[in-house]
Amino acid sequence: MLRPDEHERSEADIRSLYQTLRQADAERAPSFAQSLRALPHRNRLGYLRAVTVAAVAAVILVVAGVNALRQRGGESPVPARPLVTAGGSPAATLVFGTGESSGGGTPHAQPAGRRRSKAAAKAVPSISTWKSPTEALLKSPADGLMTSVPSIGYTVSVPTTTQ
Amino acid sequence: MHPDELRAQLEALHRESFGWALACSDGDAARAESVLQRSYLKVLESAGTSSFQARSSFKTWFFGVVRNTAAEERRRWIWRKLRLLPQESADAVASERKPAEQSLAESELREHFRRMLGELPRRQREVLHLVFYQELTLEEAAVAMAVGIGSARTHYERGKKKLRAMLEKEQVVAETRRARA
Repeated sequence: MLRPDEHERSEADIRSLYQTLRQADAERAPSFAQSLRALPHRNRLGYLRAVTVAAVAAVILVVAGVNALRQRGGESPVPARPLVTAGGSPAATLVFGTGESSGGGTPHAQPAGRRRSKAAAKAVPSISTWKSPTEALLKSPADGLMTSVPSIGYTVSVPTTTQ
Repeated sequence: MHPDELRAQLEALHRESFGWALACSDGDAARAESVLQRSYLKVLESAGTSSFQARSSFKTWFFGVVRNTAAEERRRWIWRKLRLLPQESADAVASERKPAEQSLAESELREHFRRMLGELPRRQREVLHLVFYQELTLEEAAVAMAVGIGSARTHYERGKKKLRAMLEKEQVVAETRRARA
């Protein structure tokens, strides 16, 4: 622990050493005008170069990303597959079309690339035109009876055989 | 602040600013000039929208700008090493300007003192420079360093203690040599 007078002396020594540094630095400092003159040219060159490198890297990344997205968008949709019953034979085939009845048809061929995606877009079903493949099972001989209102004196004939 | 007024203030502070830039650049004169020039550019280009709001003195505010610019310059040095930025040392206005006349002993003493300061941690070195070289108060030094007054005081006391110990050791060594001679 320093005595107060020792403390003051050491602070004075430190201050004096710093002042010698200050004098030497003042002698070697460039002038204000020189400092201002040197700057703009130097600064912008380095900045431009760094910006160019960053821009080239960004372009490469964007091109790679666009290519990756294109490849993913060109993939074909899952083709229609026949449903297989417990016995192993196909029972029905789901076909998405433009209002035609169900019950048959083969999955259409898948064109490559962009044509594939257009064909796939066309094959997308319209919910309003979809018909159930098992619709026939819901028809019965008594459909006429169920859909009409009987009147007094009028007899509804029910066919005995399935049409 | 008006651009002309700003320029006048910067010119008045130029020598002290160079000394501070030198301290922030570990004594490298070429880097110090680069730091000072970039600081001038930052301040002059944003003259109309200057962030100086008279909460502190112009000197402490500008010294804060120089300090931040020196930190950026240290990071740029890393990029330069990786060859992504061009070398700028050749464009330095005056990298190794020496004082006109100096005695060898004085010059050696100065260099020896600089080496001792180089052994101190950065924050301690900065606060001692601001207080003893730039003759700022501890409060002003804290503003320039963007630290709290408590932190500044801690760095100041620790730095002074370390520096004193180094000077005493040097004095003992010098006296021992004198005694032997």
